[in-house]
Amino acid sequence: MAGKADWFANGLPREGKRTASLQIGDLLRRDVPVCHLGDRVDEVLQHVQTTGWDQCIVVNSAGVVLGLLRGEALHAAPEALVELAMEAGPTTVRPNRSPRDIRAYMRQHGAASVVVTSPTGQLMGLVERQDIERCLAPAVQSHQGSSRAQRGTPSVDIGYKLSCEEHSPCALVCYAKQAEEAGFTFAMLSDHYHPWIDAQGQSPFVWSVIGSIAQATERLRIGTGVTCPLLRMHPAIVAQAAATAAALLPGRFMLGVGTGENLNEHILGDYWPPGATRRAMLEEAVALIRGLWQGGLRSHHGDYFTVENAQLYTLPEVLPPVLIAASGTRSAHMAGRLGDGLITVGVHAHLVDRFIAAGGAGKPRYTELNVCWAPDEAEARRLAQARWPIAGMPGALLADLSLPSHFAQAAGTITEEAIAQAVICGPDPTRHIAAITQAAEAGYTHVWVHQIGPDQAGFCQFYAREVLPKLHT
Amino acid sequence: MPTEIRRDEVCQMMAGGAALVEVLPAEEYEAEHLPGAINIPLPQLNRQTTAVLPQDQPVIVYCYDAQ
Repeated sequence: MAGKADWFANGLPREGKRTASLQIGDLLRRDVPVCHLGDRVDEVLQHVQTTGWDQCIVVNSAGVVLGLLRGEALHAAPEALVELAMEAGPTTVRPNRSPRDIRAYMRQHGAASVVVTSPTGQLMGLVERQDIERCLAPAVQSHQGSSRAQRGTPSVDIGYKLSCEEHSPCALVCYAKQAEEAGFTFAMLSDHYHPWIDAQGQSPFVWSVIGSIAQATERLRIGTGVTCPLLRMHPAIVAQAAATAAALLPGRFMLGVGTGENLNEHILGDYWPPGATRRAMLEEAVALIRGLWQGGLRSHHGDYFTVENAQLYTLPEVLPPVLIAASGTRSAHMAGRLGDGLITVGVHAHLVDRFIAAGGAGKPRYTELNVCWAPDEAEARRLAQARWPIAGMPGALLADLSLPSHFAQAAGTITEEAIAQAVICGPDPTRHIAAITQAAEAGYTHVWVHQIGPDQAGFCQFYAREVLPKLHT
Repeated sequence: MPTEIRRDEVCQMMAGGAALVEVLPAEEYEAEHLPGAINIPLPQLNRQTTAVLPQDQPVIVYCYDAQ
């Protein structure tokens, strides 16, 4: 075989540390129309117009790129053959080139798109400069920068965490109203059966809470952040719950889904599958949910789920977007391929890149930011350690431990210093603003802030006064 | 007997249970490798290090390019 250089130059799958970085092949548009030397230009134009493109790539019978037909050439001589009208020998690039290099080339030559081929010249697709620019540009400029302030356009939405592990259902409804009044544009609710540790103390049924919030708020968009439609809740039930929520919150509900945690999903005695199986289950579950949302009588006999003669009678006018949670590159890839948006916890530029590369370009990217506001930083650090020690725990523990007491044991090994590294603690607004700006620069379009602890009113006042106005002006 | 194969054959043979070995240095392997490949750097290729490979399945060995 020709070796791994050839493998990667053909845009084939790869593993390893470098795979976190984006390549031009990750931004390919593969649906670009093609034509052949002997085709008539007017027939090609007719075909191109039906596809929504404004150009066509000329290939031979082996798929090797010979030329481009675009602009004037598509209209000037309708009866001419492509061979005479095309631009011959366009510049092509290999799929493993860096988007930054290709952007520099395109800027220099004023090119709006570039053809991507295999090393032997076969067409793989086309990359548009706008996709590269979108992918490489931070969502907002640095807060200290002037361009964003001059434009006055907030390009990252700030949301609020309704932490079901910590607050009673009545308190959550009250906090949702408070967040709306403070200027948060959306709120995400966690869906748990157990809190992470006993000290958190609560775990109401999320769908009931959402129903109450729907009546108590007017503008706030609401989402599950996230629910697991795999074990404790069958996807057909989640489809119904989400359809009802979306009917109660017209145009302002989002279904955030993920592969779950053993902490919540073990309660019915089901086997706790490994991550790869749960990802496959989630893929099937999302398809099943979307199928039921189409209405009509539905049956499904899949690898993991069975539905027989089910019909959702309550369907919203606007179907909710399905946001998919990711903690690693495989789930970020799946989110880009299947989801209407990405959800993560913390700032992970490589997950955003992966999401975009897999089809998520132009779709929203949400992340959760843990903070603990208190008038005194030392007090905030103590509170964060006592109430949210999981901020300092490795991801594998979060997915696989099964009881709050297990998390409490694991929490005993997490120092206050480690928590303070993972959580923005204290009353300094510049630290909160910097963390949100950092998320925006990593490519997130939506950041929701989780205030750890009971003082939600103090937090909302602080954000309304010290943080949100500075991000929105 | 070693036989040269093409990309599409790699995929077929992998699906059939063939082992895939990258013989480049560990740091190059860690940076980027074919899915499912293991790493045995060329200087360490010997009877002991190859004992992990299946005896009853083909073994595909690759480096950076065909040179």
